[in-house]
Amino acid sequence: MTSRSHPRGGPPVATLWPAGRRALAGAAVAVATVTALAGGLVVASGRLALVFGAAHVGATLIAVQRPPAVGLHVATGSALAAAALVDSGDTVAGVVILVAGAVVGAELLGGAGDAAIVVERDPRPTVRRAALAGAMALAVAGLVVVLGAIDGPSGVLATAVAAIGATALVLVLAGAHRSGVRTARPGARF
Amino acid sequence: MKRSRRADARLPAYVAAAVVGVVLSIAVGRAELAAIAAPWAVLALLGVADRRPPELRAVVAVATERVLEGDEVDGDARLAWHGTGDVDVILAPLPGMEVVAPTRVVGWCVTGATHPADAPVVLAFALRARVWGRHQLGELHVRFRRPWGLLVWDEVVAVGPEVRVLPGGAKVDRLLDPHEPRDVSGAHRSSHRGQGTEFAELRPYAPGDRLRDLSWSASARLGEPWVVVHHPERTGTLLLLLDTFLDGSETGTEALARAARAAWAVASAHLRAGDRVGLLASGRVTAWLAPTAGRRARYQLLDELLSVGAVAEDRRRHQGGSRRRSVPPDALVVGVTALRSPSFAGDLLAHRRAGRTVVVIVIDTADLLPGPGDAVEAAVQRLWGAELDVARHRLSRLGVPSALVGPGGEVAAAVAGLRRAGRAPSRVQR
Repeated sequence: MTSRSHPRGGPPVATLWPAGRRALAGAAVAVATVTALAGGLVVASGRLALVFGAAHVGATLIAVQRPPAVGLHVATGSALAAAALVDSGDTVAGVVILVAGAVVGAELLGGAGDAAIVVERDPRPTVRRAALAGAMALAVAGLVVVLGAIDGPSGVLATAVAAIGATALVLVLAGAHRSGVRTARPGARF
Repeated sequence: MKRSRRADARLPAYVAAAVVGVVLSIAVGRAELAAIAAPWAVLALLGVADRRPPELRAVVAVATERVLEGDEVDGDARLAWHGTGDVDVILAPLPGMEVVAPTRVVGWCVTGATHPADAPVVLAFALRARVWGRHQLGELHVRFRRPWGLLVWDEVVAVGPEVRVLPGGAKVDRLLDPHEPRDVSGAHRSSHRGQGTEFAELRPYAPGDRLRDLSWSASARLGEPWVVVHHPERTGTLLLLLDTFLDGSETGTEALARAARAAWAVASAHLRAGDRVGLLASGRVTAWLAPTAGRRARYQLLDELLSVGAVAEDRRRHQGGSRRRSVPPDALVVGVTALRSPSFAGDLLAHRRAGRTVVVIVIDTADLLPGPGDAVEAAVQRLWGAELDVARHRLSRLGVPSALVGPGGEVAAAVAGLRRAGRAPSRVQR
């Protein structure tokens, strides 16, 4: 109910631009631009990071127009972080920030896609969710970096430890979410 | 009810980023790459952690299911579901209605479980009946997503009620006279002499005349008894011939709406007077209702008109017209038309050739045309108006008088004009 197919059979193009969608799309582009600038100029100062930074902004602009193309944003964001890692040697703190920026941008783009409907949507819950996702990304990525830096198990083992840690975090968060569920009375009629 | 569950576009992207990052991390033996992948993995897992269907339930109701054109209809959608979620709700389409509240569409975004656990969310709306007819108020489309969820449920959870929008506006207080009324007491003056209220003549008293018919003033003046003779009042038969030769445009739909308003105004007046009224819609939409009288006839006629209106609004529907049509020979045929279809004019003339009295209420749609942009368009519009005049003149020459109803819907004036073209007026018997 929010999109139409391309006349030549391309991917659906969202055609509605209510204020909420415009705000979220603008925020996503701003976050992507800041992330790209941070990656290309501050964290890495390398050519590869600059190229991926530009690609990241371009992918964000495409995803703003075509919500299903959010995968491009995620791919270029991850590539930007990886490129920054290559360009900057072993400086990983900036990489964590870049990943968090890509996560925030992806959540904002998802919210913008959802807001492409005839009903006006309040963008604030999406912005809050994106901010929370960014904080979580910082924590998770930081945790993995810390676990990978511990003496002893390194390389493949560190990755496995990181994966286990991430899974444990997910389970904790999911449990916290379920405890907050308010359920309508089963079988309630109206 | 339609129901589907789909994955948000972010889910495959997050999963792919996580998998590629972890694989690369393992391949090159660098934990930093796992740090890039881990947030995507967390978000993907959170997105699919709660896969319980929301079990959406809804009811759409309106305060009244029968309104006049222009009236407001209040209603509400009551929605309940299991668990916390963000819910987008849209009631669409709304044929024949315009939205008054909550916004320009009947839709809401409900963020989180903001309602009490044991009560549904009540979402109020208000509509204004725009076009007459029988309209189904669409379907309630709901999109549901759990907090952090990357699974989306799209469902049609309820169907809106049917609202009958009655034609409003025009009122008629005079009747069109049939050529020869039926032998049932009614509102039309018969050409015969007999008991009634309409004055026919004065004549000398003859044995058998009632004393109450004596004209005391005439008798005193002339020196012998004279009596007043009356025309008896009879009911008549009226057949409304409704032109539904729509061209599918907004103009055509509005022309039909005006025609239906005029037809309903004339029919109401005649039904109140005890006449039998029938309906024959011809064109893209066909409908036939044999002439009948009484309260039931009123509802039947209205029902047929609403069906025609619904078809006009909803172009997917078509009305059947295979019932046998038997038009009484004494029926007064009243054509209601924008007079743009030669075949409809042909129908009118066929009734005239069959010996029936035929009159035409012509719906003026000139005001629906856009203003002329240049001299050529102005000339075309003048030509368009001239064609209408020619068609009316041709009908008039062949014994079918017509009267024009303007954008204000002055049906009463048109009826008066048609009466002037025929007989003397008679008041509606209320």
